[in-house]
Amino acid sequence: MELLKNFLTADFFYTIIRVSTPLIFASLSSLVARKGGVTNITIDSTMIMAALTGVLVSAFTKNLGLALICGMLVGVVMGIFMGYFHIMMNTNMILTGVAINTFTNGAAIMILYAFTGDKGSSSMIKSLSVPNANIPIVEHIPFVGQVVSGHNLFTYVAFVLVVVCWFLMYRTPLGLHIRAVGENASAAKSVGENPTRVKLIALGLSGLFASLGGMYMSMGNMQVFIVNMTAGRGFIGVAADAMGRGNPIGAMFSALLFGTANAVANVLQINAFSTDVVMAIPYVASIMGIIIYSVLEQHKKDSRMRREIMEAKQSASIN
Amino acid sequence: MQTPAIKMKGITKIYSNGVVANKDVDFSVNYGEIHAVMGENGAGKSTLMKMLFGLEKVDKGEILFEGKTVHINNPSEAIALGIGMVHQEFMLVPSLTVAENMMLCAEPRKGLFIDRTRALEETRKISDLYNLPIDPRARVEDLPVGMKQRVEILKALYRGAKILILDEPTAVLTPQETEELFRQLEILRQHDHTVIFITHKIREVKQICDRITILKNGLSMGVYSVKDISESDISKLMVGHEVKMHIDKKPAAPKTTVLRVEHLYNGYGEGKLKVDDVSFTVRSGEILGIAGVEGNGQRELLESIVGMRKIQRGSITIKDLSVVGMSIQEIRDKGKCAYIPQDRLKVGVAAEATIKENMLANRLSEPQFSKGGVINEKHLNEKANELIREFAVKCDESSQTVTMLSGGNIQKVVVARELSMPRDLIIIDQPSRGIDVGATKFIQKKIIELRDADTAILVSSADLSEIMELSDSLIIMYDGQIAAYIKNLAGITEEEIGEYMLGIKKQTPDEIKEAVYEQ
Amino acid sequence: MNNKQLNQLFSVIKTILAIFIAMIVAFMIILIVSEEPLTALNAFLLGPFSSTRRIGNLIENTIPLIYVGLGVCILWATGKRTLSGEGCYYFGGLMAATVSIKMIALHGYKSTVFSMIVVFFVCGLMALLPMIVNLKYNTDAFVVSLLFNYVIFYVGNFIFSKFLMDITSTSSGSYPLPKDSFLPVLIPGTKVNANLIVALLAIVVVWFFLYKTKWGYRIRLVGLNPSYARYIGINVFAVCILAQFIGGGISGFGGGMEMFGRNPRFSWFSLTNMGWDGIMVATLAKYKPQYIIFSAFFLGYVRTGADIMNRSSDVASEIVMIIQAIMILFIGANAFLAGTQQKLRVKYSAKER
Repeated sequence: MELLKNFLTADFFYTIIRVSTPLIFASLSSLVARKGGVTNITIDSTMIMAALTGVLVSAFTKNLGLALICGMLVGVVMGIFMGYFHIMMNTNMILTGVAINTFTNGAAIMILYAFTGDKGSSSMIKSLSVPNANIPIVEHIPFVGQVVSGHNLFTYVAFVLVVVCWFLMYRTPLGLHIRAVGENASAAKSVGENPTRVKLIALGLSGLFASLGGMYMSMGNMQVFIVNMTAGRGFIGVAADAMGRGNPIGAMFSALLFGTANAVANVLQINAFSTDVVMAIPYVASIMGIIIYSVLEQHKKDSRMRREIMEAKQSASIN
Repeated sequence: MQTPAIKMKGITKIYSNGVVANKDVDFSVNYGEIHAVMGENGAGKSTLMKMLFGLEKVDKGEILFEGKTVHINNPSEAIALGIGMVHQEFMLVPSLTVAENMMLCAEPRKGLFIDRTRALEETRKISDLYNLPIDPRARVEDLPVGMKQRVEILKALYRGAKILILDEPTAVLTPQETEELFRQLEILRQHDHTVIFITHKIREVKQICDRITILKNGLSMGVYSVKDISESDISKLMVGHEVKMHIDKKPAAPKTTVLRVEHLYNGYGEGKLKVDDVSFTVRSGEILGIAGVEGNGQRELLESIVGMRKIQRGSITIKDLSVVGMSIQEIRDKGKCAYIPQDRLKVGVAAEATIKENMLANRLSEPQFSKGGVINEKHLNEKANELIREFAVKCDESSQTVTMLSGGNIQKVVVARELSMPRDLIIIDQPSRGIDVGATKFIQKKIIELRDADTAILVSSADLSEIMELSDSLIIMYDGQIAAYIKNLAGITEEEIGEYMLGIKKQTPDEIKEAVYEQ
Repeated sequence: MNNKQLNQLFSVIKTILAIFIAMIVAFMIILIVSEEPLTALNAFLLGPFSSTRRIGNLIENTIPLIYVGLGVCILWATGKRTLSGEGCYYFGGLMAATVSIKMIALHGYKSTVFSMIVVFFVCGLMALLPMIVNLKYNTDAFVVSLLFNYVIFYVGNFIFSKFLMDITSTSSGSYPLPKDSFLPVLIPGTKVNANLIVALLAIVVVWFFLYKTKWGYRIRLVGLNPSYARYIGINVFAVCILAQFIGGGISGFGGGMEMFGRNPRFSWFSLTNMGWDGIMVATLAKYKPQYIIFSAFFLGYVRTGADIMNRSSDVASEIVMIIQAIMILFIGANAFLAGTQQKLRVKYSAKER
């Protein structure tokens, strides 16, 4: 009972939204890539590199805008770089992912070390961050205001991006082309589209979304870059996207679900429940999510077949 | 006389592997006609049409469009000329709506967004114009096959096609859907459009087409007005082979029933039944052949028997043992059944593995080849070399990878593996596809030897002369069903079989029932 | 020259070229970031051979890479690619420490052997979950195994803090492992111990298993052409499970063996990254166990050199990862040099005619 009290607070729901933010970015990143026919397993790396870039550029130029732009640019470049090797150089996705993840792990530490002389975090230098924002009027509503208002600007961007992503995918020519290429590249080719070009654009966008998630980690949620600070969130994003069945809104809800698992873990942790077991909860939830998604897909296929058998039996009995 | 819409003159196409697909073919179509292109598998129909649609390069000859010479290098150029093609595999994106598929890469725009209202309107407009009703908002994946085809046709029309190539459009359709398609084609003819109709089915040609071009072995057998040519004449021009291979064999002495297939259905969930209520038996000491134009369910039938395909209804027993639901391995072991698949490279061998690994992979558990899980390399090599000699596989050594071999020798590796163990039932799909005469003869001789040793053999082949020579009795498949059972091949001509294959004739149910022997 | 020879030649050329490109990039990075590039380069290239202790380091670094490389050779042999080696390696270390510390009834080598048997089975079983889920529900094996590794880590960390953490000691880490369970040291003055011999044996065993036993045959056939394997009646499910069990077991074994001599206490507070390194080693070796010795040694050398450079100059040792990444990208890129190879192929086949 004592424990339950910790969950039913505005604080707890605030935390859910806070910890879900990077997952939403990551799931959208995965979504764009997967719609284009590529399972992107470099999202985590892209987040790390963008997080680092943002921190370093802001620390040395004291220009927040420039830092954000550089971070996003790094994301786009990484997405296209991955696409170049995977699609144009015909490298297996997993090998590409392994290489880029390893590269990032090394490069991030080297760059951090070169600029700060520290291999663990950027706490030696003073970097800028994106501020939190209160929503006028809403902030004064009891409870709701405490939950919804006062988040980092990145968080609001994430939710706006869900909607933008939906419109992009379902209402613009580019989105239509990405979906067509991802599902049936030869169909797109037969009407004069260049599938490689579309896939590279999709991966560039994927990198862009991932970079926002990364920068939220180091310039929003925290004001410092820490090595391994993403802790596999990019991969949880892939899981959230899978469970969201390719729909941005679904991806968002899955991300919130995994975020809830995370928030639960946080609360339990404070209450001196075994920290480690609790920390595993989000990952277990992600695995469950992927399994549930696959089972549902299988079920959909089976029921379609069953329907056809029923119809066939009926028509046979009529004849 | 009007200028033909398309005229192809002296077209020759030789593929890089040396196969002559078309030789000096003339072809022409007018506006406002439905023109059939007929021929057996590999007669060169598809290649000819692919050249017209810019998917293949013309080696020799020229294409005239409305009297002017044109070079069509890719599909976009063909579309620009007003030529559209509906492939057998639909070029549609399943999760998109009908309107989205129609407009793909030519979307009406409103600012940054797709103008969805206009997309819907345009779709409706074109579907009204040609009287081909369709729900523009429906998702393509939810549509039945016939409607998907309609979307393809509308898509081509939307892009301005006046000449429409349909590659075996009825192969995937139910009879009702076929009727509906024909109604649509009539409408197109009324709009003075041209339809080029690739098909195997003579009845359909008779029903809807104006003229027909018949191809055989890459050569044109002439252009005929459909009303002036009889069904059996078409059949004679299409089928009929000059080269005969004579096979020496004794008359069969069939004994006990080995394979019994009853009321088998397969293909739910794939849009159309591939195997539709098929029953027959194969007895020991006989070769039962399955003839038919490819794609009439033969492959699905064989794959169902060996457990590679799930069946939904029906029974299959091998020596009174029901094998439905058994794993492939169980069917192989308990049913003592061997299977030589059609697609050698994808299914028959592991191309990157060595000859010996391929020949003996299924026998590793035998004590002579492994003890306690450890492979006895010496025995394995000996056995492999023995098989290489016995089956006359041309290779340097047994540890060569299979990719290094020719098609005929790869087939021999498969045959060696499948036929070297004592078996009750042997199932062979396309025994001589793509292999040389020597290897073909060799494999046929092996099959007959095994028959004489009282093995039950089921062979399917699209090569009519081969199947007629090899088989003791024959079933002919058409549209997933058995069209005829020929108990004794002595009294029957190729022409007659051709008529069953092409769906002109069908035996009575009682005659077909004779394919099942009670015992 | 026939096609096969041409393929082999190009495979070698590609590998050498990839290493070459990676090293050039590394040198360039050193030149850029370092203020004393010559010292750094010298430490990097020659450091590993400059003293007995450092040669010892080189061998010590090579050994675990052999295990994880072998692990990936088997884990990936069926064509299903997982990252289970990562979790198994970590958990192997933990399990070895747990068993040898807690099983006080056993002493000396008995303790070691018993611990390692437990490690092998526990890690092998752990590697099964992502594969079972993949085979049953058709999920992405890589992503699931990756997420599962985090679960393994946190569960492991729980076991560690609950049962092993030595709160009396100033050094963070577990209770020390019993000294009598340590492996005998082979080269005095270093920590190179009998693990080296076991690792070399493991190469032979894995090679034998993959190429000389019927299960190895089957695993490879499933990897070469799964529909063929299914068609000749191989139980693909069982074969995939077996491969995961053995591959996971060997990866875990590698982690466990580290505990008996190299470190006095268990002190891993994060995943080790060794699973990713295993992929590097195996890819460099073309997934053939007999080449693992070379690729593991090469990566061990680069790694030791980087460590020494890190200590004796101003270049971070993480440059190793960049080198590895570039190598993998170029070795894995099928289109890399493919044009040249095709031209040569056409040229030679024209000659033969």
